[in-house]
Amino acid sequence: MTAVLALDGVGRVYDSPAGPVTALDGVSFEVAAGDLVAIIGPSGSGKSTLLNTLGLLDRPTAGRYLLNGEDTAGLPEAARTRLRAQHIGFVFQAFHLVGHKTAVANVTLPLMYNRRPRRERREQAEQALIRVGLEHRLRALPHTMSGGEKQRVAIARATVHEPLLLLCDEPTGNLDTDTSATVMELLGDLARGGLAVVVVTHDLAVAEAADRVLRVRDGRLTEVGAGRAGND
Amino acid sequence: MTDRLGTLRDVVAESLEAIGGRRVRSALTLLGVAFGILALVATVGLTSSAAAQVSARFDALKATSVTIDGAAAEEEQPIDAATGLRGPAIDPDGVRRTARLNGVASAGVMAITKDTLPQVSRVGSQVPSAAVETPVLAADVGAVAALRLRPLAGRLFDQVHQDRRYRVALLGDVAARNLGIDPADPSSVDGRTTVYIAGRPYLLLGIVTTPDFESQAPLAAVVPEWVTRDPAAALTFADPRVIVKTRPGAAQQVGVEAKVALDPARPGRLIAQVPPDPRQLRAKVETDTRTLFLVMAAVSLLIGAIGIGNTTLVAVLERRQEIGLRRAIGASRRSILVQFLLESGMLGLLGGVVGTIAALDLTIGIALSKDWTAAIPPWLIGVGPLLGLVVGLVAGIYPSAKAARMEPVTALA
Repeated sequence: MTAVLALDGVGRVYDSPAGPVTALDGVSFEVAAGDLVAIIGPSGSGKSTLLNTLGLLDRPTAGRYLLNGEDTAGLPEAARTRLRAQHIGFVFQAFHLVGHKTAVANVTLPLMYNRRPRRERREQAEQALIRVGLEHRLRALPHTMSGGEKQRVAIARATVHEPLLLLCDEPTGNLDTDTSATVMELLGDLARGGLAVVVVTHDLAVAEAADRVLRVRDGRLTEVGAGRAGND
Repeated sequence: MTDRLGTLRDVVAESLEAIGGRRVRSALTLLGVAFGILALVATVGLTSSAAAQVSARFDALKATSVTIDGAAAEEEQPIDAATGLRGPAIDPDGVRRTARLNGVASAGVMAITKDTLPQVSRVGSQVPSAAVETPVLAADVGAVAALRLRPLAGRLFDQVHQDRRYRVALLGDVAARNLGIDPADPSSVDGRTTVYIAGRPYLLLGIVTTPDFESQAPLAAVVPEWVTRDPAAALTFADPRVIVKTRPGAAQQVGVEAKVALDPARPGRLIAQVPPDPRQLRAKVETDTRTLFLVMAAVSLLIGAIGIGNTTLVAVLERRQEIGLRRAIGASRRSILVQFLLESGMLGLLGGVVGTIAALDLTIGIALSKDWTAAIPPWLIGVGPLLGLVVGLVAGIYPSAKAARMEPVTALA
């Protein structure tokens, strides 16, 4: 399988008043289409920096990051923004739905930033919501939804534009156990559909559902092994 | 191009949605601008209406009277052997050209006796009158019209009296009364009454008046213009001048053009006395009353701008995560900037529209209550909303730039 993303010796050093802080150090790994990869590690281990780097929201200070075969290191901001819009979907712990927009309107946002024709957007957004089982909540506003519903809207939004890579930051952090299981099942389905999925989590149950588990500690990466790999 | 338009349409839609999603706050915010625009538009509307009243009452007669001095030739004209008259002191062709100018209703030559007033008396079917000192005004037919002389009894003289040098005279109504003639009595001009002016007899043609209350004509005896050139008349006239009646609004322009028409070679030596420009008068009234209100309007507009700026800033801080999310899923810095600028701009525009409508209602209401005609300059209707838009955009610059500068990682944290 082709690697959707490949990191080669990626490092990230922050300047701080107390001197340089190393958040990532020599991180190398690949994620292929269809992979569901979990990244675990304690707070402050560099998980978030790694996720931000994968999402082109942060720039590494060393190493190379190839997304879909393209080296992202030297790209100007506008090009990175375009790559994000086209190829990456984000799911956050806090959902980050736009409060004044209905479920459908929230899901159309990535299509708007990808400049898809207006008439296609609603149709595609509704399809995405139906895929996550929210056909009855299309016109609902976020404040009327449960946490599980919000996260499913967020997943629909993160996948409506058919990205290559789905990045999830503690996607089950605000959900109860049953809802977490549903969300993880959804992410597993998406990975089986050919999407590369990277999940940053504290939750070991979530990690167990992944194909591979990567542990970050003090900015260094160790591969722990397969979670659900044997189940496939 | 269509791509650009589509993007713009998207950003506009996003902004409107965000405004609509916070109705109460948006309404309160745009009220600030609305009050500023209300004050501004109402001030201009009311002062224009008030000024229109001023110019409506402004003496329309004065506004259409132009006098040109200095048109008379400096040297005395020779006496024509055939007629026994001096040549005309003012070039008749120049007067004819003046009468043909656009905006001229009538034009002619007039002169009035200077220094000692001649003795005037009358002899007729009634008892002869004592002699009364009366000014004598000489006018050609054009000047009679330009002076707006109107017969109360009898008739005016015409071109025939002028050309054939008939000794005829009109009496102003005040002058007639002084000579014991009742101007209201049609039989007072019976075709047999003779008026003696400086010892010479003139047939009384009519009693005249004029609506121009500053005119000397009611006090005077009015004779045809040829009399000024008749040495035998024994009257001394001041330099003749050209008097013009213009159509409303044309006085200023006619004042300029008439000088050229009268003396194309040296228009500069002539002096045109034009009435004060009613527009200038109106402008003066407007500036006097307006300044204070405009200052107040500017202050409330400034407060409105600060309100919009503040609301947009709060919205930017409050919607930090939304901004971070939009940036993460592919919004460029520019599209964030434009979105928030449009939000504040549209709040300003809506405030401008609301304020303008309220101001028009207020202006019309006050005008009605004062029995005025509401005179609202048409441009004002467009300026109110436009100014609101500008205020909103300017107020939104700082918050929008702040939004566009946000890093997605920190905004989402």
